[in-house]
Amino acid sequence: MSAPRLTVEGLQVGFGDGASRQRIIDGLDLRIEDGEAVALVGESGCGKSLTARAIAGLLPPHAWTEGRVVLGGLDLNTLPPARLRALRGEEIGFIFQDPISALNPLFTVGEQIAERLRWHGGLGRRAAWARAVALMEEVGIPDAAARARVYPHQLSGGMRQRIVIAIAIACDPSLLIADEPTTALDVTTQAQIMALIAASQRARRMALLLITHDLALVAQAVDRVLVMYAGQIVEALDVEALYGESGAGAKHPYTRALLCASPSGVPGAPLKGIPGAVVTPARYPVGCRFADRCRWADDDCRRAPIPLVDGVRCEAPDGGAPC
Amino acid sequence: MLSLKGLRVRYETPRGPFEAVRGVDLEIEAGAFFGLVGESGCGKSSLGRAALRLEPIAGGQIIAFGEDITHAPPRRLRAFRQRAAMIFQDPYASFNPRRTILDAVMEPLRLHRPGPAAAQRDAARALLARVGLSPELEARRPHALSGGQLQRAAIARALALEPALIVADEAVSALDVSVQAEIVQLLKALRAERGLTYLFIAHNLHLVAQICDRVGVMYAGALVEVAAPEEIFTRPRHPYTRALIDAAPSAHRRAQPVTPPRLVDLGPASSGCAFAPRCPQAHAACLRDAPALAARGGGLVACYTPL
Repeated sequence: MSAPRLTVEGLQVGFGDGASRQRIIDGLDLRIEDGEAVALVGESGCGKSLTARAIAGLLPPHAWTEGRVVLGGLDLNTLPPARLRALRGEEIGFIFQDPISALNPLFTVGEQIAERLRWHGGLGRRAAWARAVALMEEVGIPDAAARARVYPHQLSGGMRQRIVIAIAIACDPSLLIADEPTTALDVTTQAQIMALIAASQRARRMALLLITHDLALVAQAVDRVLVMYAGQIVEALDVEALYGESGAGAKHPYTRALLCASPSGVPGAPLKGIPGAVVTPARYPVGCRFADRCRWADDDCRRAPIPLVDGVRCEAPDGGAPC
Repeated sequence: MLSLKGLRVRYETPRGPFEAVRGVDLEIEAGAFFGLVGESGCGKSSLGRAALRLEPIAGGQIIAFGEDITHAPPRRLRAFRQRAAMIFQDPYASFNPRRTILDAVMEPLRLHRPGPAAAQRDAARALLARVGLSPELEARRPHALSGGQLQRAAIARALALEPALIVADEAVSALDVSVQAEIVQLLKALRAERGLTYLFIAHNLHLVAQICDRVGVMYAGALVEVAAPEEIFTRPRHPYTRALIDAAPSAHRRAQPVTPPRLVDLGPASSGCAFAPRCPQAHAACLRDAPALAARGGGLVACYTPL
């Protein structure tokens, strides 16, 4: 078997130092093969976006990080900064949640795609422009030659996100990271953008890491799902296990609770919330971090760190229909 | 309870007037949990606000509690607004950041129910307890609460004057699903306890179908379909409803590979059906005159060739 496209080992991310040092991501491991699509799912504050940013080297300056990120055999931590910057533009495409802040309002969208190609793809001015227009066609923008000359504010939210995707895939990256790519969009536009991401991921055989809070989105777009809670992966499962027989394959109580809280569209079906609140990084307990909200938690859960065994971080994983 | 007849809302913009709500007829019965869905800009928020006379009414009628309030003078409007309350999407924007939670919940009582402060404080505390906020939170300011906690406080504040009608505008949309589900449970419990009627505005079709007992679908300022959720979901009659359902992903079913609806860009508003420029089955008549809502199955649909 060939080496995975992306390997993350023992990733830790945090803020502050000395007494105020806080660890948010806590020893996270993940692997994505070439052409494989993986979703990192979790609710606000679980650390999923921070993980994506750490992999792409886009952490804020005051964050600290430890652990290994290996992309295509290259350990990103050992690369000199200039080489890392170049690699990031060429090998990692990043799609942000909010296309309006990801694009520069002062340049036309064509210029912004061409700029990426000139900096990272080494193309000349004319070649870059022609390639930019071709990329806009590829991401489904009608009348691309004319639209290349407009500014971001002249496009709809969906069209802007297509431009962000064109920039992300411009240099044929081997890894595409999409951080909540459709959260700001309407449902019909969301379906179109997810279809576009899935299609270009398959056509280009990229590895895809999709970051989302929405279990509903992963059903369509990925092969594997990693569920995050309070800075840890609590469950890793095939998407089939999640959707076969309405979630019967999910074993971690948090994954199961998340499924039962997600609207099903079945009229009158109960919608079950999860009582309590996520524990903050300053108060991460020694044992299971979900214990205080878990119906089945007992003293064993709280005694020591719970390892991820067979894809589940739980002392007594459950099975069967979750709701 | 609430009846809208040919309601129109028009905004003056630098580029001329823009009609956000274009002649909506809607009946909401007492005790209903009425869901209104549609995409950004379809006019659902304008409709909800207009129902409480919070938007400029350009035409039509609003009849609430058996009374025509379309042109009600301020005094009558003040009385009406004690019986109808609103909950907004972003609670951080709807609370004064400098005042405590208890103070915010007491405010409607101070304004509308003059009396001893101690009694108002007790009433506000009872409301906070009812929505599930622990007493130690009452002295905090809004930013010190989580989004879910603050939305609970917003519900407490909306309940202060014991309204009969609550308009909830994307009230759970910004919350994590685990919190969203809890707030929805709270809203349902309150309806049963207090006989509330809800106009619940949201963009999540699955959520609305699951919790509401009647659903209206809006497109470009008009209601295109109204029916029970079972009807809407299993047998949508309007092509736009069909497109919305096809596009909405579910966390509970392994969907077919994504088949986004083939929708063309929205053309300029004409005299015809607003959806016609994007509709896969539009024909000449659709472009001439807009179809009115007409009974079909157990619901209403505005389409010449319903599915």
